[in-house]
Amino acid sequence: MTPTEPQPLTPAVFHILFALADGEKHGYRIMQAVKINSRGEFTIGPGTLYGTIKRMLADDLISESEERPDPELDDQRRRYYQLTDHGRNTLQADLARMDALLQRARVMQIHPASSSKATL
Amino acid sequence: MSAIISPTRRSVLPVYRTLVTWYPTPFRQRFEQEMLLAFQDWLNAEPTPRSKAQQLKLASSLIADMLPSIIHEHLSEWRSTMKVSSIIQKVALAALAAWAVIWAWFIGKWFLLLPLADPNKWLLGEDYSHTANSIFGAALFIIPFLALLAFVIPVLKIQTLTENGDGVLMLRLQKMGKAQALVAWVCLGATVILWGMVFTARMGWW
Repeated sequence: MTPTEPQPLTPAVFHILFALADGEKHGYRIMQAVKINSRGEFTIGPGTLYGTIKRMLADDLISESEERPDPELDDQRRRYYQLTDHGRNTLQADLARMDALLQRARVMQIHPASSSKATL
Repeated sequence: MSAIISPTRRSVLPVYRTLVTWYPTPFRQRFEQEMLLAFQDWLNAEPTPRSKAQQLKLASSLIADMLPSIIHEHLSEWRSTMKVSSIIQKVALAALAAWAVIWAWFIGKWFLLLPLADPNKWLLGEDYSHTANSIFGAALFIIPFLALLAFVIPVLKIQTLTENGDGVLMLRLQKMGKAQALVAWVCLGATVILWGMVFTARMGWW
């Protein structure tokens, strides 16, 4: 393995990046998006969420949005997070890595979709 | 617009607030308000726990989420504020303190003839082995030198200069604090005295 080869992301980092892919969100919206995107298989609590957000901010994967919500519509204390270019590239690299694995799994006919296709 | 929380769930919030206070201060200053808001939203969206089993499930999921995160943040904070060299220096100081006490004990017992217990027997046991005695004896001579290294190595700057095609290795000491310099000088003095005693005794000079 070369040192520059990207490493697989942790599930929490991957799901937070994925949740922010379609726009900026605050903490609870991220938690909801993570649950919906993973079809309820992966949930993230506030403790894990903010610990991970802290590290992702330090790694420049996400940034805090400078815009504050309208005080009549939302709580001013909320902070919104968005993907950085580095975060988007990292997410795309991880998705590409998974895609390559899935393609390989289909070739090897160990992917459920490929086996069901084979039986049809 | 702040999140409105139902009275039945309000009792959980103080518990959560208490758990949040267990985070390191810098983390709390940055994320406390957001965490409380996110938790209130999450609590409102979750079905109200009615039975004891459901309440237990909620409490366990809360603890499972928070405790690893609290431990992780404290470790992370500790790593970022405490340099390895500083930890090693603290260990070296503790070893030096123990070393000084044992030497004072030896001097008190064998030179000042004070009514003290035999330090060897007291520290190593009544029937201590030759190996244990050797290690203990060696430690009494080597501890100041190791402590000296613990204080000198962090301020040692290694430079390589190239002059006329020849590489020259240069070791330079950077400035260290007065207290650290004092400890380093004491360690150097103790090392020279102890090793000088061993050397001269081996040479049969006394």
